[in-house]
Amino acid sequence: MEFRTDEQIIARARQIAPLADADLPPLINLVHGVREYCDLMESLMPELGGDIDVTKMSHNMDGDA
Amino acid sequence: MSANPLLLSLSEQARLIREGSITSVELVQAHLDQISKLNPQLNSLIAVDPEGALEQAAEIDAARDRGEELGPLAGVTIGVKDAVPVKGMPWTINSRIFENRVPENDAPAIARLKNAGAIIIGKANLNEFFSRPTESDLNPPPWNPWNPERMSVGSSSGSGAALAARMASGTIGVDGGGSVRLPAGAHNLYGIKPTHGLVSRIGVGRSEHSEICPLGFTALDTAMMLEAMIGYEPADDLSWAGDVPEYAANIDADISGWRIGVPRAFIDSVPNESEVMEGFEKFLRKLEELGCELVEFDIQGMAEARAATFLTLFSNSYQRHQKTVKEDWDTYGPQSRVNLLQGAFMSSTDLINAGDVGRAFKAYFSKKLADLNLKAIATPTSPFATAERSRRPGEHSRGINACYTAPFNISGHPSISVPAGFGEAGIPVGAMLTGETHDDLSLLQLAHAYDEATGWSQQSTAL
Repeated sequence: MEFRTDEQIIARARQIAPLADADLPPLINLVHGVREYCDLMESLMPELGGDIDVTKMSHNMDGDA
Repeated sequence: MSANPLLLSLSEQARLIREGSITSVELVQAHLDQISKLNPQLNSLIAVDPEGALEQAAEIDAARDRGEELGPLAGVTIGVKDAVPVKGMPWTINSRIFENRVPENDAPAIARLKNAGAIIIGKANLNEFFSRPTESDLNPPPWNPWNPERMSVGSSSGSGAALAARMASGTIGVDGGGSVRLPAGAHNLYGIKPTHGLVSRIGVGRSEHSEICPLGFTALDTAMMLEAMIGYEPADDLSWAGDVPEYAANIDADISGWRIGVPRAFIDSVPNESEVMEGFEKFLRKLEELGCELVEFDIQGMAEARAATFLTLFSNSYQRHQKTVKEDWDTYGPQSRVNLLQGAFMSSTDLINAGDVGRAFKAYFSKKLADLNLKAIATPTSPFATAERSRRPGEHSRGINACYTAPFNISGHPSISVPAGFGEAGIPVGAMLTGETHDDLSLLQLAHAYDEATGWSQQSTAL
């Protein structure tokens, strides 16, 4: 399961720890960042049998150019 | 004693002890006095072992008097980040979860330091579980002795602050994404993250890319501590079993003609503060004065490798804490417990993807160094000149403050932060050199030549 919406994140969080309501906003913010990173990794995966091509990776700090 | 031993480097202190010009007891007592004077203000050390340190010092002095051969670190003092176990001393990781934990064994790296004659004087403060510091941590965050109204950069914040305040001869930290190089830069110190596998990671958990690292006043100090900690550990499946050159004995080198890469386009994409760039440009000019050839080049994949490092850290952290966060949630600090959950929101595929990206970046970076015949690349250590500015409200896991450091954790390349001046707040800024795996010696030689030419290590805080 992917955790893209606040509702998905809250549901998963309640399963793994007894969070207080005040814990949720910072966690949701962090998890959206994790998802961005995971999507970035997935976008770099090659076709079956291929290799990751670093020369197609970003040139800048934000990873978007 | 003719000069204040606190103002000497670790290598000088060790030499004077070996020669009999000062005793280890005198040095340890001077450090203990400095701790008594400054630690209540700075919170740098969270545990100190005065009796044990003085006892070991007396044994070393007696051994010298008997004419016995002393180890290279005999009689000097080391502060150890409280994430690394030292037998008989607290091991809290600055968390109430481990408030009363005391290990029965040293981490192998610590045992090797002791075998070289080093005296572990205390445990250094850190952010709870390497997270962001809060006042609710077991011990409040340390302050930077260069400006005690400013927080120290972490997560090895206490290791940086304690050394800058001259509470020890050297300190040890742990670097999972920049946590030694960043505080080294912010405390006018040298801090090297060695090639992955050289220093056993046993004792600091299963985060594969976190390295136990030395911080020193000089490049030579870090070389001596690193050399002492290196060694194959059969129980560590990533431990390096090959040959390693002697660092301290070979640290003097003619670096003229060495090619140093400068990834200018990437650096220009980072929101570096002006004080950081002023220091960095002066660092580059000094390398040129020393005969190095600067080579501007384009680097790719730094953002992706940084992301891969953090995803790996998140996954490792949650994996270790998965049971405890459920059972003892309220015992954790509010910042660290939320951070520790991040890894629960990744799949196994996400983690494997991150590992593959890290390996691809490692191969790419090594090839880039070889193709361009570069000894190292040069970057700032951090874009920010103070800890406060590096923590931006609402920022998630992008880790901009680690944009130069974190890529080389997952790649395993060695990387050293060197002093590069001071920002407006009086806080030091750092520059960084990163080179090929298992060529840590070249980085130390570069840093040593730079140290000799600049004298940053001669500067001391007003405290």
